[in-house]
Amino acid sequence: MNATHYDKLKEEDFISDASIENIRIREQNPLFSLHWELKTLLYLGVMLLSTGLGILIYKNIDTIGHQVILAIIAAISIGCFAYCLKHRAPFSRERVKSPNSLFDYLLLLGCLSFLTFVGYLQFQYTVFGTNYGMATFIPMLLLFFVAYEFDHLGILSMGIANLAIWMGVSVTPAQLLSSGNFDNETVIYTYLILGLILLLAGQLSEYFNFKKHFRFSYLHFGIHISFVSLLFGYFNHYSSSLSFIWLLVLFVLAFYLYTDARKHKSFYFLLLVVLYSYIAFSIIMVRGFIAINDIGAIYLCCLYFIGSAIALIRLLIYLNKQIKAS
Amino acid sequence: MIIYNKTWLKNLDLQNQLKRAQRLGDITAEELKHMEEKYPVGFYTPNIFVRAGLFILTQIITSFAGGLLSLILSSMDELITSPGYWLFLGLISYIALELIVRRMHHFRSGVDDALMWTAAGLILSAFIGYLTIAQRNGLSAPFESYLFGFTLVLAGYFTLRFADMLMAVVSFLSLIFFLFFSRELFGVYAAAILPFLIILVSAGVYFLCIYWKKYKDYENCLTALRVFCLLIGYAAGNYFVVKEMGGMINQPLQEGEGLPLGWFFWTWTIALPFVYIALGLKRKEVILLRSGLILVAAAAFTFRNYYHIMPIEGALSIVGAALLAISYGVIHYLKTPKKGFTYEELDDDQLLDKIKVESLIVGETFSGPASAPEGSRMGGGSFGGGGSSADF
Repeated sequence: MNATHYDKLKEEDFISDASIENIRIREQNPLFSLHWELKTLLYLGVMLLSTGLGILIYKNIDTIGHQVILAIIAAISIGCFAYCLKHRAPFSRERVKSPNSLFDYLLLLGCLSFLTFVGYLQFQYTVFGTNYGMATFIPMLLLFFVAYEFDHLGILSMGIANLAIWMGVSVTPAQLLSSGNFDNETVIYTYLILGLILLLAGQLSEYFNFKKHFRFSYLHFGIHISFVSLLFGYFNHYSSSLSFIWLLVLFVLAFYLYTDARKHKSFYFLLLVVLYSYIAFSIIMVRGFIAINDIGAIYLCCLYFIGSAIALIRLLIYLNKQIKAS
Repeated sequence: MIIYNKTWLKNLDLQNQLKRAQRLGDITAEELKHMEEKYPVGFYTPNIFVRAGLFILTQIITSFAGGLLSLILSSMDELITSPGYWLFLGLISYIALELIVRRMHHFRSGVDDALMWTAAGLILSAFIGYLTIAQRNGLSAPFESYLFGFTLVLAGYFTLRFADMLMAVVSFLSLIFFLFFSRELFGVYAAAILPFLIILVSAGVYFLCIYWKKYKDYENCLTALRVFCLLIGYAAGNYFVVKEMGGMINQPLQEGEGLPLGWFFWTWTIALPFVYIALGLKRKEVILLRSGLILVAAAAFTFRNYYHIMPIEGALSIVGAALLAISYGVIHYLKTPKKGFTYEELDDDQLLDKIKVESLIVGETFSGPASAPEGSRMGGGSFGGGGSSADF
């Protein structure tokens, strides 16, 4: 704090002497936090090491003995888990604060090397035979278990992604949009079911008061996946007369999530729901304008977007105020 | 010059400091509330999600409004393709921006961001349109010189008027590009002088930023500028950049031929990041420290580009392990704060915590395990490593 600032504040007698003293002490012994720098270094370290090991194995798969490689990976994994087991806080249904970031990232490294280990086993020895479901199921189980046991949100996200892989799709948002092949109906249904499962999981964690803070991750992935798959489901059945059912489902879901987000005062989810519903609604409107098939419809379309966007801006500002006030 | 209410800006600064003091437990919540009433801020500044939402919606409005206007005017001959029309649209956006900020007191609300970038983009397009016409009639200096000269002025104006960080960065980068493209003015030795000139200019701007610290209203802009001065100043002397740029300007070097003054550029490439880090630690300045850390990676890549000591995977593993070891050592060392440094998170950013960015980044970059076998159960599944986490 600026020295002139607090002298002035003190003169005006708004801040107690004790508080001023606190500020002055902090001013005299400024502490410089290296927290974020160290955290980034840890993240980079884990990322580089796991990538490097992965490539190393891939390239030398024929030269080094398989057992040696397996042993090294297993040793890293076991070492990380051993450290985490030693330093962990006892399990609780509530949020458990991790002892430090080193713990977080070593846990991550342990999980990553375990995944490599399983993958290597499968690649070299085909332990699971051609039962690929098993080969992805076991890592997924481990990830979820570790996420709950050690309370690690990053690993929970990885677990969710692995759940998707197990179900046959990938949920990383970049992947979802770039390589998503939405022509295939099975894929759309799989996505939809996955999204709904995640939403359910989010709600259940709160209902049973079991790791309530995991709700955010579940809902984050769940909302994106369900809405995107509903929209693509609609387009996939565009010419069918029953295609509106997809959007109907979307609006019902949106309404439910909207009330839920209002209840939890989560503006992020509220924004997602509002924007996705706006997209769906606009799709109907544009379809209507196309059906008119007249030059006047283009004017109407422009006016619609201008008007609706202004209305939506007002709505968002209003909702934000409401959430803040409550 | 600045459009915002200066008292409010001052109060905002004060409030932010007091909020931090409250988070650290120095003052009580009651005192904070008291101060907020005593020093009010009338700006409309919503949180980041609202800002993003409003930004998107404003873009929708401006583009459809522009489209509608163009549609109505499209019957007129060559009107909507003329640069003057773009300028006209740009000025409309600018007027809307001024009104929104003055009347409704929007301050980094998303609406003003969107209008600002639309206005600047349209005015710049109009300028490019005029420039193309001028070029047909013969232009004395290179096209890009005019372009970046104009961007410099335009972005500089927006920076001064709206104190926007990104605009400040754009104007600084325009200055650098302007120098680069106007190199012919420096005569035949342009390629040789250019790196040193850019280094000098970056250093100059950097020290100006420090000198300008008294202008509190532009604190954000100055911080952003300093980061980019450090990065550009480094890049201008980086061996790889100098070599490639020199090759672009003059003849490319022969195989095996080194750069003139190669030792200087190599020293610059390798030593400067560490100088930044050392200075950052000594002066406890986050900007220097973080820039230095980023640039160490750049130095490593540059070095690897010319000297292959070991294969990439070995380097990755060793560097990764080394980073883990170093961080472990430092965290261990700083268990109790030493010499004014601490590992503890002093001022945890509430917002970052709320959206849990870290967990999402981890999920994004590590979610495609190398282990998943080909052809998963339901078919149609493709998987793979990282993607950007640009999903907000």
